[in-house]
Amino acid sequence: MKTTVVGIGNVLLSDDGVGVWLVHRLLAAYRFEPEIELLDGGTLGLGLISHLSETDRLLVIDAASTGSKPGTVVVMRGNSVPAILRATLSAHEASLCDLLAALTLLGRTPREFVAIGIEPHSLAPSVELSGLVRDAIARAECEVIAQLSAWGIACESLGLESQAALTL
Amino acid sequence: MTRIVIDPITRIEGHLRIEATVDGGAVNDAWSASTMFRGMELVLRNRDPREAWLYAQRICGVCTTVHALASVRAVEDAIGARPPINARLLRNIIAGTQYIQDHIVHFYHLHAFDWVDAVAATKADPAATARLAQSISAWPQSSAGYFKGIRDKVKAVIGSGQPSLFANGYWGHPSYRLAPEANLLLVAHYLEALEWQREIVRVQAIIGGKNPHPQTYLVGGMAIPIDPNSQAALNMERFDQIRGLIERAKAFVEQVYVPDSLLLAAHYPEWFTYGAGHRTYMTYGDFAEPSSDISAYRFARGIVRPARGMHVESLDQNKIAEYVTRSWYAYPNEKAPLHPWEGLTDPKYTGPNPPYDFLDVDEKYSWSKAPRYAGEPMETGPLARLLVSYASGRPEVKKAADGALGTLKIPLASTLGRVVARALETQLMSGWLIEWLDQLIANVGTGDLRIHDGTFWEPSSWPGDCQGWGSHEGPRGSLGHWIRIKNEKIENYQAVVPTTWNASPRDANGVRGPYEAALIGTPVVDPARPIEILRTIHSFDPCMACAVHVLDLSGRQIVRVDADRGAGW
Repeated sequence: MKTTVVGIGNVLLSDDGVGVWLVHRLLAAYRFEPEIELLDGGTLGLGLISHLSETDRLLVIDAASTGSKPGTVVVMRGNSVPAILRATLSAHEASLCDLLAALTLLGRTPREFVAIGIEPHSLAPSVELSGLVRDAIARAECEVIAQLSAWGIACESLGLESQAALTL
Repeated sequence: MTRIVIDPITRIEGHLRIEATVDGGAVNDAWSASTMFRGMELVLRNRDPREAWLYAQRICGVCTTVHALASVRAVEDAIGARPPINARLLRNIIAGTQYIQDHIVHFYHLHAFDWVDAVAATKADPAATARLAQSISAWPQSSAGYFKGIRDKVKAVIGSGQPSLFANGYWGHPSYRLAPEANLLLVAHYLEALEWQREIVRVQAIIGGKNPHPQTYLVGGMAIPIDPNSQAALNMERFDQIRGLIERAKAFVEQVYVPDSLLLAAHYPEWFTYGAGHRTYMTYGDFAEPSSDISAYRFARGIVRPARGMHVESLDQNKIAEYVTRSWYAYPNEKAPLHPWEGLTDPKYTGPNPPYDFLDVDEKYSWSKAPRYAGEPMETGPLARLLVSYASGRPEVKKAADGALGTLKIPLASTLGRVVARALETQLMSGWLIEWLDQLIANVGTGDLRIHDGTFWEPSSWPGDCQGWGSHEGPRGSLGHWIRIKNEKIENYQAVVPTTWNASPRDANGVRGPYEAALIGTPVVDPARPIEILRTIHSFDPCMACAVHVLDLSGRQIVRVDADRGAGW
């Protein structure tokens, strides 16, 4: 049973990169048993096919505009995810939808799919997260750890300060 | 007259909006607008120049290695560092596999559906498709049973109504010209290419590390050890793995991609008469190895204007400058262009507040600047490389082009000319990859294991305040990074990407950018379904490279084709 956690977004555009920053934080702050793969997916889009085509359980972390307050963390599970993606399939950011559609076409759809979204505040060119989204990272991290625990993956904290290790 | 807006252009990387006016069934004017501010160069200011590539590779998720390479070259040019031959060959091998992957993904996954009707493919006869496949290629997956399986799969996907890669298309458009069997063949290869691209990226994983973002670039060389006697380094076993992957890629290029490109070319001959544009072509050139001399570049450097003969003008990067007269930026003098070393990124949006119907194209209308060479717009990319290298007398390029030209008897300066040029250079590149690997192994065999030259690593060794230019012929065209270093930090950084050249808006003299010029005369049969505009724009392989990546959950309908019939135009 292979599990992959992938953070998606552009780290040069403030909160757009929150998913990537969180993955780097998880890599620095935890030891995972059994081993899972944590990926800095950046904005690779279809280029991630080779990394995701063997995975059974997929957890995506991404900035998500739901129209909520900046910093809001939303968790989408199972059937709701494809339905939401369908509504936005032709929208400007098609690469995640295209990626899932491509995996489906290849008969390699992950058996379980969870998306954790964080409402962005700023998309200006910067490698800093906005304050509201920086504060949300800890909540998003809890959601990731809770999901992994639900999948039977033990996560041992290495005792790093919260908000430390936000480096590439 | 009809005014058409396509926003965004789908199946590209990033945001591009095209507005066009159509009269008498053809485009008579066009405006290319990048609708999202990037300005990522600002992020690089005041950083250590040696870290620049780590950030530069994030400019675009599709072109990570391309920006990493231009960035380390810019810093090396500024401080005088010279990477050893092993490092340069490894960089070429990464770059070459990037070409093959990008071009195949472009042909099948971004461009093919402009020419291939996936719905019509479901009406194909599998046995006739098998005969067609076997008549143009020795590729083994060509049985009637195989094509029946693909046909049934595509039927099921389309029939399910589920979101899929076949969801967006102008299916049934009268401009589709292929028989059902050719459509099925191309759709089958679309699926094979999806599977195949999982494999070719393993070359980059072997050299660049497991992470999707390469970790192994380094100013002055590369950061991966080579040692035939170590399991922890690049050794013969890894070289053999790379060779196997390259050879399989070469077979796919020669037996699938190139024959499919020529099949399209044969069925759409009129598309060799549309889409040329200004006919001014520029290349920075690249890939001299094992030499380090510009005159040895396999893709030659220079400027060619075929309308004025095939003379190759030598390129001087000092003649490059960017206008913002029609772009949403502020310059001290809006009429004068700035060289990238002096470049400013001072955003100043003056366009309409969204939602809006049309941009005010008489004023500023794009987030893209307008780069010009000695004041002239230039097309960059595979077609430019082929023409400049051909005119420079590069024997391999001449042979490849003459072979295709002899077969097709066509002028290359056109929409489909770009498609054919891209396929031909992919074939060349797959051969060069094997040559570079052989050169690397031979050099390592002499006992030379050097992968990094640290002479200029410490800032104290740098020539004080300095500036540099890093150029690379990336898959989409000529990429330049310009850097100024002051007090050991980045003072200014500007990237002029291939798509900025090609997608540029008008300049201070009102001269159109290459996309805009190429669209003039493009036929449009049905303004509500302007597939012909997509054909010409996609032929350039746009990469707007802004890559803002926000999951949009509000369900807004963003794709919009507006055909405003009449009304004052």
